[in-house]
Amino acid sequence: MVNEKDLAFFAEKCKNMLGEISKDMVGQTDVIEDTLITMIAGGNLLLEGVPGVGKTRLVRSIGRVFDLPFSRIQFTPDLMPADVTGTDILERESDGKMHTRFQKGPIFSHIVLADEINRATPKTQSALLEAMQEHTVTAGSNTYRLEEPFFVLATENPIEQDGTYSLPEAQTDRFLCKLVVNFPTVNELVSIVNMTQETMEERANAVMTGADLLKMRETAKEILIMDELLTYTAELVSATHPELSDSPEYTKKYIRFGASPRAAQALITTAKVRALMNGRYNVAYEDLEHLAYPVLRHRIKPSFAAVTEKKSNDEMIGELLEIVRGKKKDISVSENRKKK
Amino acid sequence: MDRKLFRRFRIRLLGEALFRSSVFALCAASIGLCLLSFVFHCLTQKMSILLGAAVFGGIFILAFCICFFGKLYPTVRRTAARVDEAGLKERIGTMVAFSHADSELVRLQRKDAVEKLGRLQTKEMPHHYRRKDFVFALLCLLLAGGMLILPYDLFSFRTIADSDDETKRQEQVVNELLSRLREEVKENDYAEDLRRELEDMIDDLEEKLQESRNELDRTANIDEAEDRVSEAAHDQNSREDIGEALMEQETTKKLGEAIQSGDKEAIHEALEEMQEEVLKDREQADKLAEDLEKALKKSGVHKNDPLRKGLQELADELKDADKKSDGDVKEDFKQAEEKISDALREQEELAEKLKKLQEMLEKAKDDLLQREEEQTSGEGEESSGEGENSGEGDPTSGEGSSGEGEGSSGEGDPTSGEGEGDPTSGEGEGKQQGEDGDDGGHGAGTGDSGYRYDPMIEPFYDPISGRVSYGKVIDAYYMEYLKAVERGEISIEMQKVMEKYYAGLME
Repeated sequence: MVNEKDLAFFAEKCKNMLGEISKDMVGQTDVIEDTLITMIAGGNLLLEGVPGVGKTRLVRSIGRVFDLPFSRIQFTPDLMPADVTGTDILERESDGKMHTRFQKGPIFSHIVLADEINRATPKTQSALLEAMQEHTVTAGSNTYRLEEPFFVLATENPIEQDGTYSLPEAQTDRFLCKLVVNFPTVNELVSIVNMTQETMEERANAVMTGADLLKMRETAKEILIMDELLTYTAELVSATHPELSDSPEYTKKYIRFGASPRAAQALITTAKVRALMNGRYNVAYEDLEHLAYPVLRHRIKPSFAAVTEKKSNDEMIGELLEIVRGKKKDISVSENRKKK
Repeated sequence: MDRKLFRRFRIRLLGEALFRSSVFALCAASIGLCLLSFVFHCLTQKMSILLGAAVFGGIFILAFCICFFGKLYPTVRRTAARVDEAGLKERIGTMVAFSHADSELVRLQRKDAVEKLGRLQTKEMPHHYRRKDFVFALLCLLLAGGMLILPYDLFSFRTIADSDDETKRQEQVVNELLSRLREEVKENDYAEDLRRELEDMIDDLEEKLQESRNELDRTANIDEAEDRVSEAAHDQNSREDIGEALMEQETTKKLGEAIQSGDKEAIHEALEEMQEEVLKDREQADKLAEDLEKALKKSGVHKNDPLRKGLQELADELKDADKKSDGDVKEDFKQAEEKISDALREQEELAEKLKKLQEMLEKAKDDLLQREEEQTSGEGEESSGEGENSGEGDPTSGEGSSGEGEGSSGEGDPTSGEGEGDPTSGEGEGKQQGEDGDDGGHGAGTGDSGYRYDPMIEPFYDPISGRVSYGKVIDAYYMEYLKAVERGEISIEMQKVMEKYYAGLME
């Protein structure tokens, strides 16, 4: 059972982490916060942004903050699955006999940075699937367990870039959150330039251990949430499915595929962490509405109508939040049919 | 969980709930009243204020209870949700949801929530008043008010159907009648109370005629007005009452008979006799005065009535007769005779004027029924043509009597129960068609223009006797009236008038 000490511990650790990361990162406060939320919640994170906005730096900074083994995999089109998971190699023993030994790949770490994941082929991308979900690696007939805590922090270039392979749905669903790293503001850019003129070194210090993280995770799980909010979460996720009869007309028009039940789990888990990070002992609508974007944006697929009308996933999520909450009226059936 | 925490917020929410429920109930009641009013409009019935108020009140109370207790009543949960909207981020709602749980985290959460709640001002709690609710309520109220003041026959389907030539003709007849009546009352020199009474009669008639939807209603209303005029005429005609009262006493009996008959010679003779009696014996004067006064009191006629005044003055003079000379006594009787004559003359003139009003009303009734007569006369002419060709009937006599039949407005013989028309002579049956000739023109002769085919009468015509049963014709019309009642074409008030009318015909 959670006590006041645990809650104080949580608050202190969060403060320390944010303080250390801010030494290496300028701006991107929301992204940093959401990244920490994802990690405390025990999920994998997908970061999207144009090159040079600090995705890799953030992940590396996080790796430093957590006193955990960190590995980096740079995904390229020629990267093979074995390059990720490891492979059996042939070794000569001292007695001259040959035997095979499994050489662990870079995935055998606590924090794995999968850089530019969408540059690798789908086959290589799939190599991450088992690790991300099951925290195990199967090579041949052997299954190797990955040590906890285990995170995959992947970065990807926006889809419009050439030479990329969009992640399959099965894989994107395994990322708890997807964060968009936007281009910094002018002031932030000035600060970045000033900072990097002094040094490009990463200065964040380790302030967390794996045990701390696991403890924080357990603490966050206990945070209180009303039944109304649970219902709201379920309604929101259900509302992303156009095949359901009672889903909004908006969904039926603009969404092709909806989010899986993992989305509901992810939303609750991350909302609890966020509530506690903000000094509350209960989840609020604000937490769910804030985290709906990172949790759902990679889990819903737009329809042709959305593509032609250039509606982004974030825009659709925003509309659904208002419709489900009752703050906005759904589009009419006739409007939906007419446009179809 | 301590409810006192929420008290101030609940009170505010209670006020809001009462107000919003009232607005909702007002909308619902207004819409209900509107719909009810519309139904009454379609049925061309006037909705009573009491019914409207009852429906409005009933719907208001019901809607208020449903809204207040079902949706807006500030329960603990609702209050908590509303307080959370003030920026407490579901702290209070969570506290309420976990009020029965007990763990350290729950206690910490509760403590945090209570602390935040304590710092929150009541006015910071947002209200849920919506402008569009007020606007909608106002519109509903205006609509209901509008429906109440609109003419109740506006949406009547029969109004649409009735806007034909016949209805216009009838309306024209009615309008002409009303304007002529008003003109007549204005031009003539009536006493103030009689003038007011006649003006009231005309106003009432106008109101009722506006509400009437067919000629049956209209003629019944005109009959009612005629009755009122007759009643007024009767009230003004005091000689009947005074004469009757005088006749009860021996000393004044002859005078009473004379006054009742209105014969001036008889009045003169009676007064002369009385004068002689008084001159012979002055003691008789007192008795005579006493008898006069007794009779006048018994008659019930108003003290200001000229006839009564004249007789009263005579009585007063007779009381002092023993102190007067013969000449004075004669003078008193002479003056009394003059006053009585004047009063009777005035009454006759007034009766003539009122009779003129009655004639106008009667003519209007005939004009209203004229179209029916024209229809029947069209058919009557065809069959009279046939009659001619067959050589039956005397065209001239047929004409004459059909003239009577057509124009019969009270020329009927009330005593004859059956029609006495002889189809071969072409006598119009109209004159047998009721006392006041409402059915005038339903002649059944086969004379040249004497016969007008009437489907109501035809079944009752006995060609052997050549008679039409008056009673059966009336019955047939009465049945038509009853059918009209069943169809809802005749209002309740009019039914009372019609029942009285038919009862009078059937007597």
